[in-house]
Amino acid sequence: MSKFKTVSESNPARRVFSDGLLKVNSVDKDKNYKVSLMLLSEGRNRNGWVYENIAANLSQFVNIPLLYSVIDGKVANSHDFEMKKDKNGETYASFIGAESEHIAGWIVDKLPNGEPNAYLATIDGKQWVCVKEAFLPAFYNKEFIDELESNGGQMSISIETLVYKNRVEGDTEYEENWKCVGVTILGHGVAPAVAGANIRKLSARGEAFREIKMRAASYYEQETPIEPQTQKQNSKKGEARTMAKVRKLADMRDLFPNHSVLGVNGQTVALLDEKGRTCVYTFRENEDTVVTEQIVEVAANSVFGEGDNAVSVPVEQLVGTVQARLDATKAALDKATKENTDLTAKINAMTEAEKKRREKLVRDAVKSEFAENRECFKGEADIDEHLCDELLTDERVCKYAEMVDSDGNFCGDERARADVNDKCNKAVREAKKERQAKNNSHFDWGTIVEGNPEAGKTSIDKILED
Amino acid sequence: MKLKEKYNFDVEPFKGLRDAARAVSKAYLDGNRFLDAAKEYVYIEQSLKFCSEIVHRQAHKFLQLLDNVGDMLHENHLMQEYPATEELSWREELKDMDGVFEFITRVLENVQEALEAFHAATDNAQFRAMALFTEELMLTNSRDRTKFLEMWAIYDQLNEQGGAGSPTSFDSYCKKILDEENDV
Repeated sequence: MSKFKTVSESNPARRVFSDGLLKVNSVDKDKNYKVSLMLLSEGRNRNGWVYENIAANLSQFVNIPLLYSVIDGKVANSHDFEMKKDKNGETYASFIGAESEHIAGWIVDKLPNGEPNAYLATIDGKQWVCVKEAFLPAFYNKEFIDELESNGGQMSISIETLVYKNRVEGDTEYEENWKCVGVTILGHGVAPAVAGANIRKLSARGEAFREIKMRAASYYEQETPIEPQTQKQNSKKGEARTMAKVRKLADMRDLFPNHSVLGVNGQTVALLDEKGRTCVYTFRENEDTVVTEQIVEVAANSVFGEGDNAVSVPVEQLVGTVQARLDATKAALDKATKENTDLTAKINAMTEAEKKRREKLVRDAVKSEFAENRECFKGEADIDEHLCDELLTDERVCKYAEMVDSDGNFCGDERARADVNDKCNKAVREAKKERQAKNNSHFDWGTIVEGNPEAGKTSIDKILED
Repeated sequence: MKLKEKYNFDVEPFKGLRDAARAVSKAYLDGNRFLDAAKEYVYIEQSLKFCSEIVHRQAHKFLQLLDNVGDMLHENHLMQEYPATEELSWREELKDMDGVFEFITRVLENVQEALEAFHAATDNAQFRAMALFTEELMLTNSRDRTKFLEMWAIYDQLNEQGGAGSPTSFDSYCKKILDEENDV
């Protein structure tokens, strides 16, 4: 232990671990979940930590929050927060970030009947700190409830503690002075800091929870206030008429691209999402846009038969098989799409490479053919060295590169050579013409010079003399 | 047998020296960082420019002494290890100049304790040279401690005399110390 006051010493060490269990006890008419918790067991946990005096510290486990964080719509590894500095330069943990964990519920110190909430219990031969009841308002915890249900009613939890004093003996760290500051719910698939911790619904093993869910949905439906402005009394004519926009099924499909629209009743639309879950959306009067966050998942049943023999089947179960096939098909489609994308990318790369190869062939052909021509007609015509520049522009080369013959074989380089030859031949011909013209029409101004013996002779005369 | 198979902290007789050697290095490293932090406090919070320079020089001296320890270990082909230093919570440690001097002497005493432990581990025929060198480090440390105790005493005397000029007078005294060191 340092003899000096250091930052990590003056700020207690934060320890995150989990060894416990959370169970849903009940869901009340206000859709609030009450859960029980197994928080901490005696002895060494898998992190190699031993929390001492847990029996004397039961008060540490009450009046603390239940927490979780959501990243990309999923309950995440929940120990997310940011370390910031205040105006005095002191560091503190900030929980206001978008991905920081936030409070989902609360562990009270006493039950309504006055009993202490935290207690010790012997479970599987070990002493555990348990909490009889914690409060989780479902309305504010949709992501968590969804995750809890989709995870088969079992999730991990972590306990966060601040350790003020400890000692290390061998490979074990003994926490002497500590405080439990919160219980965090971990997302599905996230390994808890200490293995073994999980959260479980009371009804995870059977149909009970499904019934609870149905009841909750039923309560929700009953308690959802009817929009008072969806219908108005026309005071002039004294008859009821719908003032709200009439919703048509066909119009709804474009508004819910990620859902199948099953039906419309007034301002409420029944939907089926991509995972086969039933949802509803209620429009406000004359609202034309959809606030996706307000799409609410609800339970729905299909009834087979009538009377006492009627069988009630949840829609999720009904569409489950189809949904499974759909998921498989979608997965296959995704795979094929990906393969297609990969192949397209390969083809594009190959096409680009071939184009470059052809362009090089064309440029080489033009240059070599032009050089050969200049060499060949040397002395006969002085071919301008820039004569074929126009054949080497990017645009022209690109056109040559695209040329194929009737069999589909590349012929751009041959065509380029032909064009070079045409140009050179033309240049040679013109030079020749020019030379001839020069010889024939040349008038020797010397002929009119007096005393010149050559005066008066034409070029023909000269030829004859020779 | 290879050289490093025989001369390293993992084998006897050097095995028993590792913790003591690490403690000495850590004491000097801590001293460096802690006194640098104290220097900041003395300069920024107390506005004692020359006093802060003395503290600063002592912080750097710790690194030189740390290197000396390394050289001593290298004579036996032993590697010097560098333990981590935690950030000083200076607001808690440094609240006034008395606190600064108390803190600095505590840092120097911490060095002394580490040197004492290393000396105890090396005070035998096999490691006599290291023990003697450690004694030299102890003497240096003691002189440094004396310097800061004297400064503390002067500061207290000036403080007891009262008056607004005391801090300035004290810093003038610190400037003299620096001038004397520079002359040397």
